[in-house]
Amino acid sequence: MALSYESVHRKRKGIDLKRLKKSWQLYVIIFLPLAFILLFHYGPMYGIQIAFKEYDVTKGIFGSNWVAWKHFDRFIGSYNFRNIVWNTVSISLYSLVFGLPVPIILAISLNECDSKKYKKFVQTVTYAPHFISMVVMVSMVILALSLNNGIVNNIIAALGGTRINFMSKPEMFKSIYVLSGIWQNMGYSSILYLAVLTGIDPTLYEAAIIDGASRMKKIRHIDLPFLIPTIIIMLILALGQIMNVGFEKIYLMQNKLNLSASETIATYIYKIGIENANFSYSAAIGLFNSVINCVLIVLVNQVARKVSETSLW
Amino acid sequence: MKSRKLFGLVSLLLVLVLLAACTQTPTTTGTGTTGATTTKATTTAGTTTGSTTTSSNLTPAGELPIVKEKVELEILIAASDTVLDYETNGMTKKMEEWTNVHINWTMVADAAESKPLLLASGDYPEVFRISMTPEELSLYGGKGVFIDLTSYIDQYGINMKQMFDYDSSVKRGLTIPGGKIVSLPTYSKTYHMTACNKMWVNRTWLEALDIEVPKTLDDFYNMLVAFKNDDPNGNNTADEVPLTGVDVVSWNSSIPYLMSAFIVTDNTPGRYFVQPYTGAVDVVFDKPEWREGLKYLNKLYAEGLLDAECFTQDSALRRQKVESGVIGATGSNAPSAFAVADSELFKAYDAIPPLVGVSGKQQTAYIPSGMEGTSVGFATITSACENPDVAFRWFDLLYSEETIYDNLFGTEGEQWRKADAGELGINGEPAIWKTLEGFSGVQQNNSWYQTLPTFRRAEWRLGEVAAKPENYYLRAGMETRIYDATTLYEPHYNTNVTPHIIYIDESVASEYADTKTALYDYMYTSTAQFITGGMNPETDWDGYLSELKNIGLEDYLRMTQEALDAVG
Repeated sequence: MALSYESVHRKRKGIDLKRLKKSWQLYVIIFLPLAFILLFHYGPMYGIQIAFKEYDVTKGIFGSNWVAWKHFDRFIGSYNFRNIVWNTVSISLYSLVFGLPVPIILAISLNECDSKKYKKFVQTVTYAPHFISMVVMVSMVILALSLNNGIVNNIIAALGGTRINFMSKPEMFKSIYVLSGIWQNMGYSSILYLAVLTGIDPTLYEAAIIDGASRMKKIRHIDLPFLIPTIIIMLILALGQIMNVGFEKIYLMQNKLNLSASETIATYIYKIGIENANFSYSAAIGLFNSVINCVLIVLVNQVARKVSETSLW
Repeated sequence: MKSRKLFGLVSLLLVLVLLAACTQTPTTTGTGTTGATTTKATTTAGTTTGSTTTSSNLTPAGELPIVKEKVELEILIAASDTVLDYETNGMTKKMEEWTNVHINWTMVADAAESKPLLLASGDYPEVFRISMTPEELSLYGGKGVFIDLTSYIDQYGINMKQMFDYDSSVKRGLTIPGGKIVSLPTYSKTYHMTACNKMWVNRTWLEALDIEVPKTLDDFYNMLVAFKNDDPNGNNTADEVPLTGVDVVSWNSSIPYLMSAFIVTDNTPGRYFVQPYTGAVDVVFDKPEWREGLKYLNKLYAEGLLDAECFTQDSALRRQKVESGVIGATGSNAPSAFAVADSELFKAYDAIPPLVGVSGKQQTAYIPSGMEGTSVGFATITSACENPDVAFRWFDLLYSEETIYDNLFGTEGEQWRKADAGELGINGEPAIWKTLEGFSGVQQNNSWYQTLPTFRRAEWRLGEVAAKPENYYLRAGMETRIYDATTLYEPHYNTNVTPHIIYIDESVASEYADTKTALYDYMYTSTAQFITGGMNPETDWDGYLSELKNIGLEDYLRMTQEALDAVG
């Protein structure tokens, strides 16, 4: 049935019931996930109020007393607050700034690869570390950096330098954390970008070659523009996670000597919270984190909208 | 055709996935949903409304069975690696025979997850066999969720009173602020754990260099220097690491042993209290003796005698180093922690006695083993229990000497036997018992193996038939070996220690937790830095002290003192 001019260009006032009826199956499909999100993600949000209450299990959420900002005061007033928040934010930003470009470069390089065999080989080698468990990975890192037997120090000594006790130095902690993370995840993260690149129309490349473009020029004028929307989305999403530095890896890599650089919000709460089932306090800190994440994501989205055509919404 | 096949395959897969989800064994919780029955007591004679069974159904205290007419009791317990099925377990059947009480087991898959949910729901099982923390005992015990057992202990607690007599810290540790006792502990006094700060030295190296076991701090220092310079492992390379350890404070750290020569230092995190306890609690890490100890340790570190990685490595890495034959000495509670069982290196280490300290005497920390913070709230009887007196007597029976073998191991003659005359125990005294081939600590159904409360005296534990002398240095003989090691430390114990189970009042709990965490984090980091040279014990000490003050050392001590005094 041909579409009439009106049906396509009709000004939409309110809900277009006719269109709705035509594609009702799609709405049915989307209904289930939507209901799931509403029920399990938005529904329980009323529980956030315990961040402002002294949650007492015998009184329940609604029966507990209001204490307003008490938990936030406690958190912000705690001895190490500034250091902990700084560690959390800086580790996140550091991971982002160095972690974002590497998978992109990897994807572009793989795309430029002529030999299929070599490409597959590199892909396998770079994807493999992603599947190693966190505990094993940290063990490997500690061993590799070990003072007397670790491979890194052995190389340093062979080149004539003095051995360094990496894990004992707070100033090195963040770098070790970020670099090991990049090593582990760059292959897996590059998949997304590689997918975009393989979807580029080959005739564009041919046209560029005819125009006399070198390899670098091709990358700059074809690959990158196609990748930018994906990069921006990934960036916005990553910034929305900035306060959520993962607990496991930090906790495993922490030791008494690098604590000043390795104590993050998650590990701090673990140490305090493990003593009492302190729901209110943990909820308050979670809220604190989420609000910051939210503000950031909105800000960055606005910037992205103004600066480019891509944005999350 | 192809898409049809694919569609068929996908739908088959979906159906299988749904089926798999449906046939999972339902895990029940105290809210009594699906699965196991959670019937309450239904006695025919006697009341079910009041909080006690009428005395007509209960037999006199100390007699078995506990009730004349069968009574049902619900126990909520977490699934265990070691017990196959509580319903059909050998010990369950025996207990039912002896006591005439039928247990309805309510299983939960994950205790840590279920516990807060169950407590929050308000729908409690009759008995929790999930460990409660001191905070939870104080909180819920105070509200009456866990009932007060004091009167039952007086009336029926024959075995529990014996436990109180054996170790005076038990009653003290169980009493929550307000004076009630709301939990049933599990108690196991492990003799060798009373001296966790043992130092193990490589015997073959001492022999190779013809050095005697060090007695003073200077002897120890000289021994380490000899280890470093004189190639005791005979491979012509200077690869020896004289002393190593794991972390600042832990059972595997070398710091507490050496620090004790200056000021007695426990190795349990969060327990750096001055011993003996004089009624006023104090910490050791701001004392001049501590400072002297730091200087000594710093000297060891600076001269390469203390492993530079001791604060950054984990036990696995240390074990590797030991196994490669480069370690001279290390702190630990047992060889199994730092060596692979039955290897050459496993056999090579001997424990040495405490060093003569600056006071002129040998001194070491006494660690009260027995009832830890984790075992004080091992089981609790809730306000939902229909027959709390029956429940209490049932648990009290588990603390007796008669039920312990069936509780832990299984049936006499199959999993365990009494010792023969002439067999010696770990402590060299006549032995009491021995486990047999039929006993295993994994996946069995003969006993409850440590998942229900027990009362194990130190002498009973040491009454296990010892391994043959030829196995002394093997894994099989390790119990005897660490017993002997502990006897080196015992003469120097001061058993009057700061009570280790502390109930903090709810109103200050969060401030206490915050201050304590900040304090100890700073202390650990500073100690590590003082030793490794990042901070100087000469010049930075005053800054360290004032920072401790800043964080709230005085508040911490005050709150701890109040908590200790509240229980009296």
